[in-house]
Amino acid sequence: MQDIHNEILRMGTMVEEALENALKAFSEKEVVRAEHVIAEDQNINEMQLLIEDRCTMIMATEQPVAGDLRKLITAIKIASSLERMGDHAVHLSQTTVRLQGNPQMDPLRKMIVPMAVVGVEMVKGMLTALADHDVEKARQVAERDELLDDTHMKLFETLVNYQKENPQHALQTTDLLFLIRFLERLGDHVTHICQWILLRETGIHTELNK
Amino acid sequence: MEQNNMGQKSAALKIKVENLDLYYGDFQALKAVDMDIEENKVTALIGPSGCGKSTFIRTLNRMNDLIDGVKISGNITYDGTDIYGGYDVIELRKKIGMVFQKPNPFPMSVYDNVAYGPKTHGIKSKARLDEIVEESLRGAALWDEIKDRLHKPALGISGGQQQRLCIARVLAVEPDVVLMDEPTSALDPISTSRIEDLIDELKKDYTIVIVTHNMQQAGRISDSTSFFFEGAVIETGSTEDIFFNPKNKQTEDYISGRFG
Repeated sequence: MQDIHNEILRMGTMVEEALENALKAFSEKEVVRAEHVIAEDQNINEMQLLIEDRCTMIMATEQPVAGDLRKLITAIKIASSLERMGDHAVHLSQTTVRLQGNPQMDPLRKMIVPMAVVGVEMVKGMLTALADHDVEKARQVAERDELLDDTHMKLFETLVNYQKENPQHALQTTDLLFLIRFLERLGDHVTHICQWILLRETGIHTELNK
Repeated sequence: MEQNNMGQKSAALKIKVENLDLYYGDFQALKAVDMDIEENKVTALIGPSGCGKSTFIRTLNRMNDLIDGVKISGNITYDGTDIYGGYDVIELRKKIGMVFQKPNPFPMSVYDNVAYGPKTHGIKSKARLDEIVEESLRGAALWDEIKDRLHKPALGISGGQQQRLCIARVLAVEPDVVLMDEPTSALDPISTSRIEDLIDELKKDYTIVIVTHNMQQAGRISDSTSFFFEGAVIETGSTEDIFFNPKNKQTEDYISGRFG
């Protein structure tokens, strides 16, 4: 069981690094860094499969119950959410690659960076809660998702208005519209993981941020 | 069954145990046990060896009366009536039957095994006995396998069949409650599975209390589970709660195999 826990933390750390690198690449326009994030995503996907297989084997051979069972079920769910978060690091990086040579998008890019920063902070907080079995920390992290949702709404409006006024940049603006949606989804995945942490520690399904 | 204001059914109480203490001489085997056993449900009793669960189950039909030096205090009521004050013990053991760990068919034919109880209780008519034997063997999911061998020796059938025969024997005297003390621990997995399926069917008509060492079995077949340790009930709850989120650490450690 400790191995599973360690593997989840390792996968979480890989996702955190991917998101940090993707954010840096996006804000500093570092295409090479972005391409590295995209290439490394395969390792995150493989970690998910490894964790799922291990959990399934333990369930089949040892029929765990109670806390042990909850740890395995939540490990499978958390690994799945982490894999999706890794995909969002890829999306952020792909946008960086596609926007190269479009300096006119820089002001909008700068507006999105703070949203990505909040997302990465939430991921760090979630990993601390995961490592420390900290239910209170998990609740606090999930509360930040509201900020991400509000920011998404405001940026959405800004981008739509920009797109209307600048139809020549429609493709690039659409890219950014998708990007803020992915960042908003990143917050949702972190919230789900926080819910799984609560289930693992308390045995109670709790919906955070209704 | 009763219904509350929301139209939901709550199970009636079949047996109520309050503050039960039991001593074998100076040794206290049961300590202040409280338990509500619901009608038409399967209640599983789990716990390490020597924790008192078999002693407890035997108190429910006063089998402990047969042991020298036993002292019991507390209340046990069956359908609201005190089992020590209000019941003839023979009648009680007819209504609350028992199946043991090791199948114990009598050294007679299959038919005579099942007919023995009803005959002892005064049924003489062959037609009625035939009916009871068939109904009981059907109720124990054994009829189809054994109907052509009713007059063969019961000791010649397989272990799994013998245990189902013992269940049929209990059913033949029309019980209300069936107590089972590790009924499948001496059986192979397929026989175990058949008896578990049978228990699931039986609970529609009877109340079942089962002692088991097999956590997966308790999880599979019971509605409610009580964890015994050193003569006391540590935790009781719905089987789902006990196996997903037990309140007590000792319960969690036991069901997770960390001791016992």
